Amino acid sequence: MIHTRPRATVLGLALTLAGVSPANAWAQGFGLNEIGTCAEARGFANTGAPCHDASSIYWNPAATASLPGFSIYGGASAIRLLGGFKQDSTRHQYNANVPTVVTPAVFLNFSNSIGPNKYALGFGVYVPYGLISQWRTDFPGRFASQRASLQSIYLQPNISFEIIPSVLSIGGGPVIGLSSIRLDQAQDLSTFPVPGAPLPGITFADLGIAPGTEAAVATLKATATAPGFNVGIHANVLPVLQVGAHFLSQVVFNYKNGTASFRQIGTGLTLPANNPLGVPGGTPVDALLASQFTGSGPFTSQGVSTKITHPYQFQVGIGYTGLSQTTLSVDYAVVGWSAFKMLPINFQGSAAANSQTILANYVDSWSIRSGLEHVFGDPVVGFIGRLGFSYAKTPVPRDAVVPLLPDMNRFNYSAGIGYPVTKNTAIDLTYIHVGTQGRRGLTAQRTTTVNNNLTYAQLDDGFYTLAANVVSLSLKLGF
Amino acid sequence: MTRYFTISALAVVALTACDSEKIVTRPATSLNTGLFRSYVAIGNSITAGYQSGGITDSTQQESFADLLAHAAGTRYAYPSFSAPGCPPPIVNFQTGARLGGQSGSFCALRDPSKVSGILNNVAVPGAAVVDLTASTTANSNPLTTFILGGKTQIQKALDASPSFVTVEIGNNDVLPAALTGVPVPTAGLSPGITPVDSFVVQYARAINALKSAQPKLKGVLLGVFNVTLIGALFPIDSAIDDPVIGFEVNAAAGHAITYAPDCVHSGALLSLEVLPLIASGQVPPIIGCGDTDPFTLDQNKIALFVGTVQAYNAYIQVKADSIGFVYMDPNPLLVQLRAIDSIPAVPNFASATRPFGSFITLDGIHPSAAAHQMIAAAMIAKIDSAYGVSLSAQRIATR
Repeated sequence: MIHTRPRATVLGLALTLAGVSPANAWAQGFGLNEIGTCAEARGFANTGAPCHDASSIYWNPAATASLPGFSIYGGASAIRLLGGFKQDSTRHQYNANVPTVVTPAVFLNFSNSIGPNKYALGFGVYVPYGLISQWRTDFPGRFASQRASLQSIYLQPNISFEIIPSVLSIGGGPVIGLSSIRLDQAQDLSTFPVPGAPLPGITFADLGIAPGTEAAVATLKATATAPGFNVGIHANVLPVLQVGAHFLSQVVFNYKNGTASFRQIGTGLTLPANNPLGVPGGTPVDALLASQFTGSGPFTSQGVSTKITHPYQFQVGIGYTGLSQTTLSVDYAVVGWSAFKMLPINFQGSAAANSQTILANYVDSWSIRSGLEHVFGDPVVGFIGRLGFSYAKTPVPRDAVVPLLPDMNRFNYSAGIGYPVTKNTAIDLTYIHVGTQGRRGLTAQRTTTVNNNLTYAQLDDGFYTLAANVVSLSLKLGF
Repeated sequence: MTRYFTISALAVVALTACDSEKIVTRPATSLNTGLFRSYVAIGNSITAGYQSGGITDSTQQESFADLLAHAAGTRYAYPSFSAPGCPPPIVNFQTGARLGGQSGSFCALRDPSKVSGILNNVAVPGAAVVDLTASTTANSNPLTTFILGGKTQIQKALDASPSFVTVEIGNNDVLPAALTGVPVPTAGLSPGITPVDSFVVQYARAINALKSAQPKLKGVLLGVFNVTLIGALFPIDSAIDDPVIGFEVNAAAGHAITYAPDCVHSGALLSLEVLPLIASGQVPPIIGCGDTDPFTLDQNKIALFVGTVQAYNAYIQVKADSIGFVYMDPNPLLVQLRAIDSIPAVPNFASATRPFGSFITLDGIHPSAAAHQMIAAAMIAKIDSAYGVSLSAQRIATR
């Protein structure tokens, strides 16, 4: 029986848990801004002058007090990613194979008043962090991530109150985060230690097994729940000028109940006679590895745990309504990605000795967001047109531009409409194009023990491209 | 063109694993985006860069395949073996000492910093024509695994989706038999000569597999060397007639060798391989020159080997012509070097470092860096002429 250790699994699982990939092309890191169709059309500049709907529970919890009566806002965004990687050494282009992602968002709000002071109670369900990534089976970086998904749904009860009627309000509420992750990752036989080698550190690559020889696929699944909060403040400082800010706290998910399973993949390799392993010529490599997937082998189902910190978000904005039936808004946002320095992956079974820590070393990132909204015709039930632009600075350092998250600076162009179906019902529709300039990156990744002694120049091996198209549709109801 | 060897014990050095490699990508040109978009060298020890009974990164960089890739400015990833080698090359002909003071069973394994999933040189020392398409054969040796990792040469070559190949195979279909002086398969002694009809079938299978997968493939088919002209086979008359050479041969064998009467002025060739066997007592110090005597090639056997090589090469040339490849016969070069004594007919046993001249390395079989440069230059001239390109032969000198 040959025992090897799933070292590559550890790498991959870890970065997958970092949660990201080309699929989340619309915000920094693995953040998602697709929360409310109106806000998306305004280029996410929605804190100083929020859209007049219940999505303010996320964008500025203080602003919900100004909403009328009972309101519901719900919808979804469909995100289609176009990503790829061009490898230097082969000049081959590998395209991502990401399915269209749909992210929902639903908000309910009830407003009333106590004397002159309005207040509101509400509840929101939204997805501020998430991803799905999928590469084709020939992608050289599939050993970091073949397919990865992360979905973190935040549930937020909300209360807001006008401190100064029609001028200053505050609001906020606790957040309960429900997060689930999954990773499918190819396992590279060349990285496995050679059993019985006279010295440690000898891998199958040293014996001639080519890097990129897929011998197994690992699948990791885990869920976690964690608390946080979201607070905001909003002020009408002038009749035509609004300001606002909101702070969504950091949420730390400890995934303690994960499971890792492994499926053997045929390599089709046959060992020749006089091979250094000392087995008879003609022996299939797959037969040698079969024992790894049964009994006490390292590629048997086992527990796994990790921790992913979802960073804080702080956004401040200003809105100007001095032009007839027009709102101009500009926001500045900071996301505390520096909390994401590394990612521990701890196996709880036969691969426990291979637990590792992925190096991420993200930095805080910022974005500038701007939007324009104009109401055509009746100011209450008129047709609404919206435009937006935002620029998002990536939090990912060049050493961490890897298959799981080949992140890069993003330019978001958006346009949308608001169509009043009835006096109390409207439909919002938005299209966003996410553009980038591309970025050089890696197909291998660093952990505290693997590749950590290699320079960026040694790992940098190609060019990632990224673009996305988003269509968002929401229904707005008021009573 | 080496015979296979066995690494009896896998002696290794500690290595730091590496999951990535950096192949220098040269600026795009019409050559490396066209004819040489992806070059792969297929073959045996000569293509692999085996010299002086060993292989290590520095000898690999002297292969004609490396020189050709460099001249074409195309990607070139080879299975680099860390110093001192796998096994380390011989550095002293007289003592048999190897690089780094290691033994012939030592292997320092592949250099992890140059590990690549896609190789541009898949040649394996010891490979014969059958090995191009077979996973395991009698010729398989540890280097087969180290280089190919469980694939055949053709499979490994196709991983690179080649646009251009050089194929240099067939020497090991005659060489082991020539060095043992036994042209028919003999257990424990000689694998014999690969019959021409078998050679043709196996050669065609390999080339057809390449062309089937890459219909637009171009390349060079290199002919088989005339093994009777290598340094490890020398005229037995020199040892009989020249007392100095006779003394040196006896010294190398550790015994006074007795030559049978049929050797005298026979024009037979004596294989150097017999000397250590005599020295170790495995073979008695008596040399005969008949058709059935081992370790010598009489005129009949010489004719057999020469004729076999000619038949191989006739087929290789026909095959090359039929698929639009270039055929290159290496033997005019070999004959030319022998004619001017650059490859001496009789080894200089007194030299520890150049017993076979400057074109053959210390094992008496494998070409030196200078010889590889000549092969590359000749090959470039052929390619330029056949394909209307202009490879930079100048780069060979600066490699």
